[in-house]
Amino acid sequence: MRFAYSPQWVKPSPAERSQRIYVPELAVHVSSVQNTEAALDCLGTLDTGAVECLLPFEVSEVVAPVWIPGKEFLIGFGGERHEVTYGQVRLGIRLDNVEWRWTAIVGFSKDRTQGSLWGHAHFLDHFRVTFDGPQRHFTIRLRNAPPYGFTETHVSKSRRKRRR
Amino acid sequence: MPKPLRIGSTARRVRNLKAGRLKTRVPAYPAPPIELAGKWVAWGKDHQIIAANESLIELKNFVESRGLREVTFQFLRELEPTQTH
Repeated sequence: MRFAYSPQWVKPSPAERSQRIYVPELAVHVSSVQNTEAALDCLGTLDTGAVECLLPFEVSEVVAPVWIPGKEFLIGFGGERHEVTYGQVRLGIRLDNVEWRWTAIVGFSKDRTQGSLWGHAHFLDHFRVTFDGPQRHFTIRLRNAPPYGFTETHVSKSRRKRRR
Repeated sequence: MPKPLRIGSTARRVRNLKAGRLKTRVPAYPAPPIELAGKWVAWGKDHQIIAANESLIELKNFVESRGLREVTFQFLRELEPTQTH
């Protein structure tokens, strides 16, 4: 399924003089493992440079993840340390008329100033994603059979109409 | 009974690609107002901003109090040089 890139504001730099950049963003359903009512759809950036999914800590206050004990540190490109706590949640996306859900471990950071990132572990590694920079769109699809642990729900035609 | 091979669907996709029929299905979210950088925003299903707040929980409570559904939340990046980890 194909999605258009979305515009974002940035501070201009010698490399990128425009204030507006276009990034591949995807709305992902994030929910609690135990309580599907504790959920929200979160728009984040598909980041092939990110090892794992990283969300602002406030998302955890809504979805109440199953926490994984301990704190870890991620190192930013400037060497700065960011404290991250990991938790287990359910993620979900809708491709065409199918909603796919799976259990994932994601990081939550109080330091984040960049919004949500969908990285490799538990997200991008499950899908075949192709990026078209000049045309500003990306295509995401499952390759062959869905990975183990994925659940699929077919969306009815009437619901599809409502969501459009 | 084993599932049939999906050769047909691949061939159809290639045919559609060549014919230019594979269009963007999900449109882009518009550029949010620059003043909202560093805040949470709630996007409606028509990809318009419904509300914004510095607190995600307050924003979600506001959206739910209005009975709005199919809302997507986003933290808009602060205007700092792009940073990854």
